Amino acid sequence: MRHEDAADLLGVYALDAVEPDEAAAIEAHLETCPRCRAELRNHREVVGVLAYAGQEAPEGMWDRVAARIHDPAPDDEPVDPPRPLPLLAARRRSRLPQVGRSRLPQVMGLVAAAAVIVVALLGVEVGHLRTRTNHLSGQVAAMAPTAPTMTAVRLALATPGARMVALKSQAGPRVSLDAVILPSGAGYLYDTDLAPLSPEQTYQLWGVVGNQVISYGVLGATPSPVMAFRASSGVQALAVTAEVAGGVVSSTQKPVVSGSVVS
Amino acid sequence: MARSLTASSDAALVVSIGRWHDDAMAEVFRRHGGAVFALARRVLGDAGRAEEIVQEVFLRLWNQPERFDPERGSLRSFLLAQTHGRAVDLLRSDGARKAREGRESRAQAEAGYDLEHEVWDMAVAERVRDAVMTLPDEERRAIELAYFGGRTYREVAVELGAPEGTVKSRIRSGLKRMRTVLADTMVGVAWTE
Repeated sequence: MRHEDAADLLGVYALDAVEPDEAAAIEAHLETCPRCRAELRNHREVVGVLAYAGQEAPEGMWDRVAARIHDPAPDDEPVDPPRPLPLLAARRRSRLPQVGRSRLPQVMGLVAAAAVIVVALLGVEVGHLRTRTNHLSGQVAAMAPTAPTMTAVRLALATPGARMVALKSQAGPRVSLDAVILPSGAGYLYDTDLAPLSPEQTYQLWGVVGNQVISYGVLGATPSPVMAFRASSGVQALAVTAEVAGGVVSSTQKPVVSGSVVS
Repeated sequence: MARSLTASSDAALVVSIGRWHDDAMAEVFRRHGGAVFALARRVLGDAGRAEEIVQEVFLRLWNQPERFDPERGSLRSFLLAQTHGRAVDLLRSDGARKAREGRESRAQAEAGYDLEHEVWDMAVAERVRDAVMTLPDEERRAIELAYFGGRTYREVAVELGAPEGTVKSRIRSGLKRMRTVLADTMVGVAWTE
């Protein structure tokens, strides 16, 4: 299929509105055409928004899904890789979680920082579980260079319950930095004009909770346009200091910028 | 449920599912189960069959999480694409479609049949609805018939009395227009990680 012909069909393909032979031809073309893959991805995301009806699954449905996960019907698809050892399966069965009814905005999960997660996920697994997990971790790692973005910040700002922080310099050169913190604790720093430091230094972010000052991580010598962090519960203020590369456990430096958390 | 899970990204949850963590699976269901069910029910017009699709889609995610490729889109769009594909497969069997069309005509008489009613109850719903309303009628109708009606673009062309090429381009341009509008109103970021 020529590129132009495939591109013409991408919209209807995203809606599953093509004939099977056309679908096969488009899929073959997609394998070799990153441009069409990108357009299809965009179409599918729009379609995903349209499909959302803003409601939770009916009461009890998760219980039935969970039951089927743990006791699949005979005609369910074979599991590949194999299911875990019986002991593990039994343990999982014993702690089937409940799906909460709280209306946490759907956007919550979409704004966490993939890069941070990758670090947490590269644990040790054995046998087929390792293969399965590492494959997925690799996929997440591939996303890291693109996250976080200003679009994530804009979404965070539009999320109910998000809190803002305007960090400003109290002395010296006038610099500023904005932050938004979601109810989940996921936060973003953005709109920064912090000057680059020497390679021997790094910016470090701190959260103030009561009389405690907690490190939220190092930001590097040259801050990115958008940086993700994780705020602790009850954070009242944020501050950024300039430290030696690698960061410090507790700081004796005056903040470069600081600001209170505003609900 | 652990706070760390509710704050985890979808991609991280899928990795946890890869380790057979069913609490991660529960969190994915909590986030997306409603949308998957709503879409399946909308396409099939039948809650019972819709639940079958829900079970299939989530069972498949549990067994084969590696099929989800974050580079190709969000988890929600992945799940909804699977849902829609399976629902349409079911619908395109004659019996299912006939039964659905009967229900659909009754539903139209009672409550109308339009896209904007499908997206009304979340933080971004108003903007999504506004974005839908910015579409020219012919684009909106073509998308509606193809997506929620489960029709092929050729069937849509017959139904609307329009050339097939026109229907293709209306749907493509409608989706692009929606994306632009949503991005402008900050809702578009909902599909980025």
